[in-house]
Amino acid sequence: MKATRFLAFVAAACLFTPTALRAQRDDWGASYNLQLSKEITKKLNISFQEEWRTRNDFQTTDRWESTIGADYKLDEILKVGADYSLINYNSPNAKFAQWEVRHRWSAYLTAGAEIGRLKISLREKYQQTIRMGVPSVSNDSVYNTETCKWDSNQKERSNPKKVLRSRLELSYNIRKCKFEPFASIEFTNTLNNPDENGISRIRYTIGTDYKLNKRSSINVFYRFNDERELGNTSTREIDSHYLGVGFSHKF
Amino acid sequence: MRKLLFPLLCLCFFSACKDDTEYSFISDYGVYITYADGNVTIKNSVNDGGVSISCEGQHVTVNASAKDVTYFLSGVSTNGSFTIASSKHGQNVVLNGLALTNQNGASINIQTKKKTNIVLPEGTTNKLIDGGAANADSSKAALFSEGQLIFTGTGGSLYVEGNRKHGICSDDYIDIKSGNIQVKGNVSDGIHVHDYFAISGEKTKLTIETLSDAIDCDRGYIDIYGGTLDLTAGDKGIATSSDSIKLDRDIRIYAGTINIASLSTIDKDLTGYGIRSTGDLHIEGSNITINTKKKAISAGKSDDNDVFQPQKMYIDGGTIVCAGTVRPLENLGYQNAIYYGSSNNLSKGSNIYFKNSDGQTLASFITLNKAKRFFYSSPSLALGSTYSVYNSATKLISITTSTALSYIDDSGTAD
Repeated sequence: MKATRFLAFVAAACLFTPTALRAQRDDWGASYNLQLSKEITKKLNISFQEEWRTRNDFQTTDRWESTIGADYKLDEILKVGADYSLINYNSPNAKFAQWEVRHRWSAYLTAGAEIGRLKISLREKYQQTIRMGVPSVSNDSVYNTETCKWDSNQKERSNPKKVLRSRLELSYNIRKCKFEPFASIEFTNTLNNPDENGISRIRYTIGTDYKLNKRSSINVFYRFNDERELGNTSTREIDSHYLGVGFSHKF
Repeated sequence: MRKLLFPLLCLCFFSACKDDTEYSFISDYGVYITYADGNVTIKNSVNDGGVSISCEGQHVTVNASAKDVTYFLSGVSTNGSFTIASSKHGQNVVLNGLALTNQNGASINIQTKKKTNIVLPEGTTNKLIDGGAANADSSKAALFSEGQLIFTGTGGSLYVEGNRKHGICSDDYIDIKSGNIQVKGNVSDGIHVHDYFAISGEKTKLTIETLSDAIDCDRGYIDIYGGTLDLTAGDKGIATSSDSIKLDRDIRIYAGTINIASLSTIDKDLTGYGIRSTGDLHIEGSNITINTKKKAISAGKSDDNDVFQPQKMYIDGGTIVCAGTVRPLENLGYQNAIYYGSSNNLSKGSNIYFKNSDGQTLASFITLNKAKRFFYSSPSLALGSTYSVYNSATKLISITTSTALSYIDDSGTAD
């Protein structure tokens, strides 16, 4: 009964909080992911993750993303890790290829602490994404509404795109309960945007894990991507909401 | 530690990756829609499914997810329309010689809150006429947008005729930067906006003839930065929010030429405003001629007891000539004004002259209606000087300026 109530609360929060603020101009999508991990040693862990994401109000596949990664516990607090992702991205502006292949790698350092049943973790992640088939100088034509002519719009595009992602996450291990709710906020700072560097996105996530057994769990979450304008307004993405569900298993 | 080698090697490999492929120039990213009697020709250069287009008869509907899409509309249809049902980003709509009449709804209906540039290229003549029942579709005008409408381009012309409600309407704001735009409102307002209206551009021309208000802004401000505005209205020429909405919204005029007249076929007691601001009125420049049936300039609004509550009026520049009431009777600006109230109405067609003490004519105009209030302000008026108002050769009154707004009536009472 308590579990049902909690899920209802999460669902209500997902549905009403940001929607009321931004309903008119945002996009909605879903994220489905499977995560498998294996503890190699007490300190070293490897993982594989597969994600399918949709957008355009759940109607269009946004991407397929396969990730392999490894992390290593330096001590009780610190952990380092690295991931590689192969992304098949369904570009909405497919001027080069509809299915754009992206290679992404990242390296991160996580500091975690537990205060009673509350877990706090801060992660700093350096990420580099290479968009295959997309030149680092764009040469698109843009219709100039003041001259009524097509202009060549040569400008630099960051490819590979380098960002620093800073995430603060809180989770709470409820006593004698299979649910472990979590919430996080993540700032994406661009490092090589040709127009201007700064926070390009703030990602808010709220959700819960549900332990199926000692090795497996499922999670549901709501995520809101608050896209920020940097330099050129035309590069700004629209804000998006995601509903996610995932399954993870530890071998 | 050796198990870490594989991911590390991956990192090295992909950080070294670099794409050196050369790409050809993308010539355009447009959607071309040409109406011809009986059919519509569509060329969609957005080839990735970023714009989906459906067509029923000559009624074209688009849904767009792609960025920076430009629609080029041309041709003639006596029963057609163009609707943007949804878009994830803003868009350009270029009117490239388009004559579009919809028998049952808006000619152009933009049902997205994203910004739309209506582009009028030089040398093009465009016409948009709506028709049918007022609730024929979810639009309120012949040219309707739920989002921002920006008129730009290189000076093409556009005629809009509203036969259901307004001529042009935005539920957001309208900014006219260019074009020769003519609006005929056969039912309600010529231009109706929710949040804000602005017009600018030395060559921009806006002509409106309408049964109700020429330019009406529901909940926001009106800024006039330039252009030539010829407004003939059944009710108000330029107006911000109505009294029922408890908002004070300013009108600010910086430059341009503005002519406002009352529509001759309208003869209601409560009609005939020139400029009506429910907030403050700022005039910093422009040439304004107002020739209305009742109130030429009004800054303020009626309270719940129908008592007029004045707002502030600042005249800091421009040349303003009015036939009609001006209120409040206080100018907080630094440019001087004279205001004469006659005991009797002067007939329509009277030749009114404002002259200085040397008999030199400073301004003149012909009344288009019966009138007994006359207002004049210009940078040439000086404090402590005497000016006269004439009806043809007959001197009506002399006024010696004592404040920024010097009022006098036939009894010689100065206010």
